[in-house]
This record gives sequence, structure tokens and C-alpha cells, in this order.
Amino acid sequence: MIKKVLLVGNPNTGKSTIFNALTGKHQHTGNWSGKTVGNASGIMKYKNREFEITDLPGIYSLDPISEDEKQAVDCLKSGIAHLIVVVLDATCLERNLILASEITKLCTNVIVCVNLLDEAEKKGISVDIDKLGKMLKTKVIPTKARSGIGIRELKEEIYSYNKKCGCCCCSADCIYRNCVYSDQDIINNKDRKIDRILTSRIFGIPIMLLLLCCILWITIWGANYPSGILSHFFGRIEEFLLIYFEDSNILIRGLLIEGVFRTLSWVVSVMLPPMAIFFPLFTILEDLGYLPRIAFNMDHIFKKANAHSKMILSMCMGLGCNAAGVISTRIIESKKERLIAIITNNFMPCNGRFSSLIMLATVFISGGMLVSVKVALAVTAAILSGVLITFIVSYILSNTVLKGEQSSFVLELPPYRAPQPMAIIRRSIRERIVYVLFRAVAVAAPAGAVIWLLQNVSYNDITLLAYIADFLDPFARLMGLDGYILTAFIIGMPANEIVIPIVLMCYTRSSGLIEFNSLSELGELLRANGWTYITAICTMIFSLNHFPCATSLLTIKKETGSMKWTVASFVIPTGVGIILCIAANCILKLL
Amino acid sequence: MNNVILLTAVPMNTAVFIFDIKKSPCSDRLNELGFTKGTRIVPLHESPGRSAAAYFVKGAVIALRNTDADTIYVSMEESCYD
Repeated sequence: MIKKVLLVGNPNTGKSTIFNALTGKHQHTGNWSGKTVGNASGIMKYKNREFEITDLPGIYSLDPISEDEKQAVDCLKSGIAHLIVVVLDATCLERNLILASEITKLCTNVIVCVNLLDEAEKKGISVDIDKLGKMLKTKVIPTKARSGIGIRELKEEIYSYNKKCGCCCCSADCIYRNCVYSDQDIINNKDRKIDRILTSRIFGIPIMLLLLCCILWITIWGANYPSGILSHFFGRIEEFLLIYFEDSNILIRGLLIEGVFRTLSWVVSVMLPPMAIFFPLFTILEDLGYLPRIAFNMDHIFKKANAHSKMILSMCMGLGCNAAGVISTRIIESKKERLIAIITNNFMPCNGRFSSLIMLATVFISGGMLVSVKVALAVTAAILSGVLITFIVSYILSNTVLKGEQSSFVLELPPYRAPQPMAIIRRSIRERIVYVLFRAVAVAAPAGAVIWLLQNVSYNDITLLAYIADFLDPFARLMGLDGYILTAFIIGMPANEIVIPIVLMCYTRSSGLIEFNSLSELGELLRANGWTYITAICTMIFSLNHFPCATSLLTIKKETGSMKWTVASFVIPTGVGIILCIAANCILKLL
Repeated sequence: MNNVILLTAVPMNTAVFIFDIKKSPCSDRLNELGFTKGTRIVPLHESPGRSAAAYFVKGAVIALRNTDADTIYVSMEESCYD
């Protein structure tokens, strides 16, 4: 039987980094408390033996408060572990030792790992490891997990562990005073100097907005060229396939090449480049430790909206994927505020949707040299409007169906850490490029087949797609869209990144367009199908405010355990989207 | 008791010691983060909207909303709580 080893400790002590180093897995890491919200398991192979390592969400004590902490403590107390490895942050031992001493009093199968010793040395903190081991009555391993130092010793200790430790009888304060020597300057150190700028009253919020705009500008500027190259590449392949299968069955030519292959190539060439660029840039901010500072900077706005400031962390996660954003709401202790965070998470455009926003803005904004700056400003405005709608809906919910006392805002501001570029690039390739390619095959390809069938199966000389689009058209026109756009949103429910490719598929059949040199070339196709700037704005609004994708809905059902709140999460953003689209359409037409 | 004040009344970068914490929905969380009687605490900086501030406590920097910080009474002297 494989022996189980649990990694426990305060949040943000480097447990996931150690887990990855032990197992060779790629568990998400991030420089903020609450990044890990679920258990992750992996196998560590060492000297022909296998151990199941479990990375638990961070806890501060054995009396859990939030959902993720309850899960960790339940696992810890279940007695399933052969060995418990308590991971401590060497820069913050005064507090970390409270949990370590609690665990060593409760369990005897414990070893302690003092991590982040490199950061502690830089801050002028030194730790007497031998003395710490004697006072905790257990083995203590020093590590610098980010650079891999001490991991081999930790593996060896896990492998050779066979004797129970003694029961620690010293208080955490006593252990700290005897084992840790610190001459750090807490007021004028590097972190405080950076904080005085990034969270300052004058510069805090402007810097935040500027960073968002810069990230989007780099994404937009950088995505245009790879999009054109990928489109050209897939266009050539499609031409070759069409020639090669010229005499083949209509199903092979039509369904597989014009349906499946073309949709797949649209998703990869239009959607992949922005995702592949935005994700690593966002990860740099995450690894730096900037996300909790955003929550700190925006606390007064969340307070006015009767929402929890930690919600901004789940909103940031929602920018990557709304399903991940919904799961990350586990860090919010209050049930009421967690529900608000879950229901409103969809107002943050996920990677798939903001790639659509970027494309739509690029297509309809022209202006020479500064075009990418204008597009970045337009997409920033779209994301900020999502934030504003989140505040308004949160305020309404917290004063009506989810009324209750406002809970506290207590959040750790982690030390600033230099991002690891190679790790970020590896993670982006693995999590974005491979993920998008997988989704392109799993979701976009079947959707392409469905669209092609709807375009080619006719009744009374009218295609099924035309029937559906005609049926939806009057309502869609009222919303400033057309029947095809609304059909694409409905068919694109499995994944948001396929919505715009489906719209393009619907239009390209008549135009024969299979490749483009830049995103702005797509504008010609859309204009030829009756699009105006009003259509683009209304499509952007509905893209921001509509039902969550299928994966997010399933996650909401799982996280809330309630059909009622899942339906609410579907209806509320869709209702908001319909109202805003109708309003925008009417107002813009009057102008 | 004369030198006991609310945490929010302490000037920035001034070290004080926790005298008492009023029972509130967040008192358990504060306790496990190291906000316990006698602990040294230093207010570092305020949030842009002045609704919260960052405090140095037991080696970590914790952001607290002022309404939560108002549940914490502090003293300028370490021995005051004894």
C-alpha cells in the first residue's frame, strides 16, 4: 500500500512549490494566501518506493473558518497520513510556529520543513535549525524550494521516516524567542517602499489601471501578428486539403474540412494568441504578490457595494477562467458573500471572452499608429464596466435576497517575490496553449460539425441555420445583434472561445474567406454581413454579460450545491446583458 | 487604562501592544493570524480609500478594514496587559 504524506502549513509558505518539487507535478502556485483551495495529490518516487503526497490548502490553526480550511483540517484529523510535513515560512516563523506547535501537540507522525530560508537571509532573519528540532521534538529540514535546495534531504527524510516524534511542550512564542534571530527593518525595507507607491492614496488606483491597460495593450499588439501567421498557415492547409479531397464524398469535404477543420483553425488562430500572451503577463503580477494589493486598494469600493474585498481575487481568477474563479471563492468565509462572488464572477470576461472583446475592438477601431492603444483602452473600459456591473449587482443582491451583516476584511499582504520567467513560460505553454488546443479539438471541432450540418441541411430550400437565425432575428435585432450572433452565443455555450469563430463560420460560407493577414481584415467580412459599430458594441456587451459557459455552470452547481443559485447565476447575467444591449442599441441609434 | 486606545487611532509606523480584542465575527480569524493579547503590532500604511490599513504582526503584513481594527484595543507599553 502506498504511504500517504500530507503537506500542511500557513497559506503562502511554498507548499505547492515543495509539492511540485517532490512529485514532478505542476500544481498552481501563486504569491497570495488562498491560491490552493482544494487538495492536490501526486506520487513521489524515491529509491524504488512510492509515496502519495497531498498538498492541502493553507490553514492558520486547527479551528478552520473558511471552506478550503475545513477541507484541509478534516483531512489532517482523519488519521490517514503516514507522515505529516508541516511547511513553515522562515520569514514569518513567529506566526507559523503557532500552527506547528499545535500540530506537534496533536500528532506524533510529524516532520517540519522550514522553507524560504533564502528570503529570510535577505531580510536579516536567521534560524537555529538544530535548536528548533530539539524544542519541537521532531526532525526539521531547511529548504529553499524555489531553487530546489533541501528537496533531496526532504525526500530522504520522508523515505526513511520510521520513528514517532515526541510531544512538543513549549509555546510557539518560547520556541520563536529561542530559535530565531532577526534584525530586519520592518518600516523601511524594500517591500514597504514598494507598498508606499503601489498602495498609495494618490498613485495606488491609477497604477492599477495603468497596469491593466499595459497588459492588454501588449496582448493586443502582440497577438495580431501570430494570428495572421496562424491564419495563413491553416488557410494553406485547408486549400491543400480541399484540392486533395476534391473528388471525395461531400461529408469529407464539407463536414470535416469546411466544418470541423475550419472552426478549429479559427479558434486556434483568432483566440489562442491573445490567451497565450495575456496569461503569462497576468501570472507575473500574481507571482509578484500584487493581487492582494488590488484587494487592499479597492476595499472602500467593495465596502460600499456590501461585498467582500477578497472577491477581487476570485474576479482576477475569473479573468483566466470563470470556473476557476468560482472555485477560488472558497477563500471567502461568509456564505452570503461567497454566493454573491459566485453569482457575479461571470461579469469578469474569461480568457475566451476577452479574446472576443479584443477581436471585436480591433475590427472596429481604426486610427493608424495608435490603434493598439485605442483598442487596449476600449477593452480596459469593457473590463472596468464588468467590474462596475459586479459592484451594482453585488449591492442589489446584498440588500435584497442575500441580505445580512457585512463580514470582515482580513487579508495577508505577501512579500514581493521576483517572478520566475522560465516557470511562467512553461506554465503558460502547458496551461494555455495545450489547454486551448485541447478545447479546440474537444469543443470547437464538434461545434464546427454542428454548424456545417445546420448550414447544409435544408427544409423547403431554407437551411436549418437560417430557420434558427430567422426565428431569433427579431429579438436579436432589438438587442442590436442579428440572428446568427445570438445563435452563436447559444451554440457556443460549451466554451466561450468558440462564439466568434461560429459567427465567422456562419458568414464565411458565402464569402469563401478562409484566411486573413491581420485581425482588422476580419472587419471587412463582418461589415459585408451588415455589422456596424453598434453591432460590435452590443456584441461586446452581450459577450461580457450573458450566461456562464457549461463548465462554469457545472462548477457553480457543485460549489453551491443548489439548483436555485445555479439558475440565478444563469439568469442574472443574461438578464443584465439583454437589458444593457437593448438600452445601448436604442441610445446609439438615436445619436 | 488611560493609555489604552483603539488600533485605528495609532499613528503610522508606531509600535504598540495589543491590550484586548472585542468579540466580533472576525475575532477568531484575528486570533489565529497572531492578533493576541500582548502581541507587538505596527500600523504601516493606509489603503487609498482610507477604509483599511496594513499592520505588521508576528512577521507578516495583514490588511484590516478599519471597522475590524476598531475591535482591537492597544497600549503603548508592553507590560500594560498583564
